[in-house]
Amino acid sequence: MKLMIVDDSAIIRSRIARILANPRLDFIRTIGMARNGMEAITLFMQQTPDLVTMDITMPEMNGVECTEKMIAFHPDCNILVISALSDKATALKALKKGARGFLYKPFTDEELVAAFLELTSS
Amino acid sequence: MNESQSIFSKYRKIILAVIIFVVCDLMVIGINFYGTFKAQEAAVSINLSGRQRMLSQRMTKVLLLIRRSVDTNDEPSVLRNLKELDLTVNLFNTTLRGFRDGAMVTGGDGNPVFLVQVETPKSHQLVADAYKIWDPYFNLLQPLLGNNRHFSAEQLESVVTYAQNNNLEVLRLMNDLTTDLEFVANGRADFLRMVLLAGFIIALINFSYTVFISIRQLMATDRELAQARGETIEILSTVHEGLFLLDKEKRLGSQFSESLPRLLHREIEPGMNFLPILKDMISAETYESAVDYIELLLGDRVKEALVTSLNPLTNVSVSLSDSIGNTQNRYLSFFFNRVLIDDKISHVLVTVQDVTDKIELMQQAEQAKNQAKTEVDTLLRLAGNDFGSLQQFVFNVGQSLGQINEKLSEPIDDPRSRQHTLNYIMRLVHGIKGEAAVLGIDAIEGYAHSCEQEMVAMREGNTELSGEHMVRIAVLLEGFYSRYSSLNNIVSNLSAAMGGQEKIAAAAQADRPAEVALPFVEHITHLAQRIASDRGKQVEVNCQVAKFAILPANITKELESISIQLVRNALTHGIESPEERATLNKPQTGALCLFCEYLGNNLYDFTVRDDGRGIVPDRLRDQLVKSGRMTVQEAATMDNLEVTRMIFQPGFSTASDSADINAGHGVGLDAVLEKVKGMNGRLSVKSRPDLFTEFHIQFSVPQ
Amino acid sequence: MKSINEKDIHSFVDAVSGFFAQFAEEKVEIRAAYLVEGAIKPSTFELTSYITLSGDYSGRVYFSAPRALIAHLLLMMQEPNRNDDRLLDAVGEIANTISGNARKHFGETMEISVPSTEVTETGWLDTVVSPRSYVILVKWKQYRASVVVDIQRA
Repeated sequence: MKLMIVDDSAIIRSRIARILANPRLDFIRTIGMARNGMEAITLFMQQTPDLVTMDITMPEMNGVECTEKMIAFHPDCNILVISALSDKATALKALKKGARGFLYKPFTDEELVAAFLELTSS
Repeated sequence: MNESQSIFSKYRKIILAVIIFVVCDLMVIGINFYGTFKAQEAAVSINLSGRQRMLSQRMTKVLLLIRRSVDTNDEPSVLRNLKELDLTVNLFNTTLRGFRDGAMVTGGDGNPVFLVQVETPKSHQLVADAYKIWDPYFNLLQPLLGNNRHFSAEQLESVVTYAQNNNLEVLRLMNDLTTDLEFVANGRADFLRMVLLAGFIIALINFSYTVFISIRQLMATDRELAQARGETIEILSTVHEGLFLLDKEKRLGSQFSESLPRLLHREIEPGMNFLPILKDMISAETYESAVDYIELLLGDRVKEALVTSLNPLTNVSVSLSDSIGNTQNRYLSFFFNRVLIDDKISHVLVTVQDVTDKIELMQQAEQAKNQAKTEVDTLLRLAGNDFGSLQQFVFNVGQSLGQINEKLSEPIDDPRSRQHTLNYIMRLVHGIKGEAAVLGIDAIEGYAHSCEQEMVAMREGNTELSGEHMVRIAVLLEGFYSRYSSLNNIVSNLSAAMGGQEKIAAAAQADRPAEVALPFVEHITHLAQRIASDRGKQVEVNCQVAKFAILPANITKELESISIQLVRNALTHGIESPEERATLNKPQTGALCLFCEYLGNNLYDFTVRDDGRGIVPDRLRDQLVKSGRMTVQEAATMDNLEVTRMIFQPGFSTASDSADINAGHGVGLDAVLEKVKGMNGRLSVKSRPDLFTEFHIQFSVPQ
Repeated sequence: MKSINEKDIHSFVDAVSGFFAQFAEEKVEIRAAYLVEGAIKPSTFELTSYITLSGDYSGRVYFSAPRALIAHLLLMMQEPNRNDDRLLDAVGEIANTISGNARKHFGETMEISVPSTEVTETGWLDTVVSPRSYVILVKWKQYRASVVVDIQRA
């Protein structure tokens, strides 16, 4: 499965990428990273990933808008919103736009692995 | 398959009972049928044996009449009685034969009927005895038969005498035969009655059994249902939690726990719409989120396990007003779970708990925890992190705070611009919070979080943003700075401590600043950004050079000057302009990464990588020809590896604009190669057209 | 450890506002609030006055304004003489008001000096205030001025 990481923090991007080295997730391949919504959409159109981890607060275009555009383009895409957001309302908005799940920052390695497994279960 | 099996096992006893019932019935009917047939036969036999009695007497009577008529010479009477005798004898003879052998005989009504052979030994004996008398009798009768008037008087006298002598004996035998036949017939009728009675009794038993089993099963099912209902009611009336089901229209199910009305401080009716109940208790924003959340769970798009953390109704403060209008503030938690029927979401099960006591305890614990929080805690936590990330974090926070302060220092006179400023600051604070959370730096994360919340309140608040708000933000920023500086101190100390642990040559260490990596990162980042902006390019620099802290100063110095050259090259030759990147569908901002890794055996690898246009041999050939260093033919005869090696030749440059100060001076990779050789290191390069270029420097550091 | 809050800061800014409010309808408005940090410096105008605090808190509070602002103020006070001495007097008067408000705000335990006044060149404040002092840029009519709060808890 193709994964794209969307987050404006380099630390978090590399953290997610590192956790993906877990052997239980060896069916997932990171095909791209984006630092803002605009970049994410461009990359998404080119690669049509199956999985996306999506930050909410980003410059250019926020995660809610970005989720909406991705789902419109590729409705079967599994989007996992990962955010430190304190207001649940915004995260719920992203889910209403079609994201499949939500994970709070900070997360443990195990939490992210479990979330990926849940997300990719049928 | 399974279902039919289970149905069979469930009703096995009943099915068996029905089979027994049918078999019994068939048997009884069969026996009855046979019995009736036998009874008909017996009736014929009894009837005819009775006739034999009568015939024996008539024979005697007719013989006496013939003798008297002969004596009186009444010839017509003789002839009439002879005819009578003939008929009587024939009938008696054939009937007796029928009893012995079985034969067609003339019945009581004159029609032919089949007479069966007698069955019992006694009857056989009686028939045999009868023949002992009848055979001589029949011989004596012969002269008189066939309406023959020419018999002699002696012949008549002898047969009359025989008849008179044996008349009573024949009568007795025939009488006994009748009695025996009647006895047999009665016995058979008794048997038939017995069979019928037995069949009836079996059928009755079978029927009773079937009924018993059915009733027992029905009663068992009823009992189970009653028990289940009893349990549900018991559960619903004893649990402390409020329990109820919500359907797709958000209406309450017919059953809910007795505690629910008490928890919600109001009357609850089945079928009520849950949303208005909820709306009365909580704030408008929480309500809106709750509706979104319930709808998401009732839909099938989201994964239940991956959204529970967003439940807006956990530990939610509610205001509950009772019937006399007293309002009370409590904390409630509502938990929602999907109920699936045939893999389809049919309902949501809602569990309500009053968590007021728990929340109060938690608040007390939180206070205690905050009081106990010391710098040592933070230090321990920091030690668990990758040091490079930590340094990067400290650097990032410093930069973000600087950006916030710079933004704050711009004079603003209208609320709308203040709004923009606030949004900008919030984004930076949010970034800090996210990174702090990842690294587990609670002090920064918690502070960022409270700042964020306060700024959300400012943004969402009713009053326009004023200068007073800006003062408050400056105060918040000051708080941030004081936390940042204590973190910075800790990281510096940690950096010194780590250097000590690694037991690096003391002399080299002694006069080095502890945190050499940080100035390096800052320097390279700044350089890259400056070159990028000079050339109208965009770049993000990612330095992971924590290992610099344990490398000797002479080596880091060399690596720094190598880095400077490679970064210049990357930004001049590698990373494209945003426009060009856009046409290649790459992110407009290029990525420049510097890593330093320990490979083991005192061997290190230092990498500088950019995601630019890569090294393309054909472009290098063009460049070599254009600069006049080679002819077209010479360039064409070199293979790709040889061409690539040319980039390390002194004076080689592929910069299109040779007037640029950052590159194109012909001093570049050859100098890098010299420095690597000076470190006894190895230089290698990896590249893919339009994707990346990677320079690797491997070197060893003796212990 | 610096721990003054926005109420403390407002007590100084409000003193300035109150002073101007005696003479004109126009209010003093806050345009920016930031910290002295790195390349971000306070704004120094031509005339500066300050008071020095000691006690639970110690440090200085500065008020800096261009000549034109103070001259306009003197005009409104119907003061015909507008030489530097008069202008400095007026700036000192503003610092005095700040001092009065501070005494009210922090209580009598604080020692507050008499105001000092200076004719200042651009960048003067840069050389005297400590890092992470608060800078409040204000506006009155078309004029700009600044209040700099450089106070630490003792």
